[in-house]
Amino acid sequence: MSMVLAFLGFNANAQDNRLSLNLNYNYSFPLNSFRSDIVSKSSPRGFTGNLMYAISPKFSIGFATGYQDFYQKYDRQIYNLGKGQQVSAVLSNSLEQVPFMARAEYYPLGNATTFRPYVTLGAGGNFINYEQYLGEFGSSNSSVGFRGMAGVGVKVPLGIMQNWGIDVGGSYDFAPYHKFGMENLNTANVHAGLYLSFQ
Amino acid sequence: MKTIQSAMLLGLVVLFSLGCKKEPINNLSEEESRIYITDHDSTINFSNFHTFNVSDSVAVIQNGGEFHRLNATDSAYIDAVKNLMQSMGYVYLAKDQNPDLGITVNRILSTSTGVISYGSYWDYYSSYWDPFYWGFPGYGYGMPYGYAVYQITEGAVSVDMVDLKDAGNSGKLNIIWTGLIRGSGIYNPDVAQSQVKALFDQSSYLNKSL
Repeated sequence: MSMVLAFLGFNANAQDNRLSLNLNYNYSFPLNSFRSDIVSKSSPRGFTGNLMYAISPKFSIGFATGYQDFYQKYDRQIYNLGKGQQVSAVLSNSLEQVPFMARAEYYPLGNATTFRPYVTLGAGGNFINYEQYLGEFGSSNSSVGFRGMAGVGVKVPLGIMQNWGIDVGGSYDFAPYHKFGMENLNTANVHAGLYLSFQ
Repeated sequence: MKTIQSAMLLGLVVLFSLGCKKEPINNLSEEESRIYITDHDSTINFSNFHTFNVSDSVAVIQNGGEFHRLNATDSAYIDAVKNLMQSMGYVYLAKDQNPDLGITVNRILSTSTGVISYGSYWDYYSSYWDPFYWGFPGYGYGMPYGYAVYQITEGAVSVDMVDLKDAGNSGKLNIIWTGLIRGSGIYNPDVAQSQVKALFDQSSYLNKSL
C-alpha cells in the first residue's frame, strides 16, 4: 500500500488533495427483470471502488469498478423441457457483475465542510457471468453490457489533516441484459467504506 | 499515516473476503444434486398396457461397450422398478407370459468416451439389450420421440420401457418411456427406491391408480 501511495504522490500535508481513492462494502438489491427472472434475494457479497480526480472543490471525475455476486437456490420443481419431456431439479442461479465506469461526483457544499454530501453519475461497461445449475449440472454464459448509475452519498472527513474519512451512500444501477428472455440486471445498492485523499 | 494505510489495507482484505463468490455446487446436498429426466411417446395411451416384466440384470454402458451385471445396487433398482410398477396398477408377468411392457435398467458409466448427450446415449448403445431377450429376435429398437440434448459426462442410471404388446405389428421394439437419474450418490442400494419413485412420480400418466 505504501508503495502505491508513494507512486501516486501521497502528501498528508496537502490542502488541495486532488486524488481520492475510495473502497466500499456494497449490499445490492436486484430489481425488475433481474429480481423476477434470476434472483430475488439481495446480495451481501460485494464491494465497490473508485479513483476520483477533483477538477474543482465541487466537482470530481474518475473511474469506478466493483464486484457483486448474486446467488439463489430454488426448491425442487418439475420443469417441462419439451413435448413429453420433463426434468425434476433443484435450480441454482449464480450471477456475478463487475462494472467498469466513468464516474462524476458533484459536491454542492464543496470540500470544506464537516459533512460532504454528493450526487454521482456513472456510465460504462459491465462484465457479467451467469451460471445456471440443474442439480449439480451447470452451464454458464459470460458477456459484456452497458451499465449506468446514479447515486447520492455523504463523505465525512476524519483525522487531523482530514485527508481520509468515511463514505456512505446508495445508488440505482441500470444494466440492460437481453439474454435468455430477460431484460435487465438493474439493482439498488447501498455502500459504506473509507476514502483516502492525496495529491 | 501508517494507521490510515493499515486501515485501507485491512479494508481491502475485508472487501475481497466479502466479495467472494458463493459456489452453487458447494451449497447442494446429495439429494439436491440429483436431477430426474423423463420422456415419453405422447401418442401412446399407457392405459392400454396392463402387464410388465423387468430385465433380470442391469446393462452397464461404459467406454464404448456394454455388459450386464447384477450387484446389490442393480438388484435394488430392479426391485424398485418392479415394486413401483405394481403399486401403479401394473401386473408383473414372467418374460414368457407375453407381458405388455419390457423394462430395462441401465447404468451409464462414461469415463473416457467424452461427452455423450442424453439424446445420443441411446443411439450409441441401442443394442445393449438384445431383442431376443424380449422374444423378438432380429427386431430393431425404435425411439418414436425426440430427446432434448442434455450433457452426460459421468454416471447415470436410466430406465427404459419397451412396448412389447405392439412389437409384433410394428416390427420393432419401441421405447415408449425413459427415465434418467443423474447426480451424487445414486449408485447406492439404499436410495434406489426413492430414485425410481422420483421418475415415476413425475410421470403421472403411467399411474393407473390415479
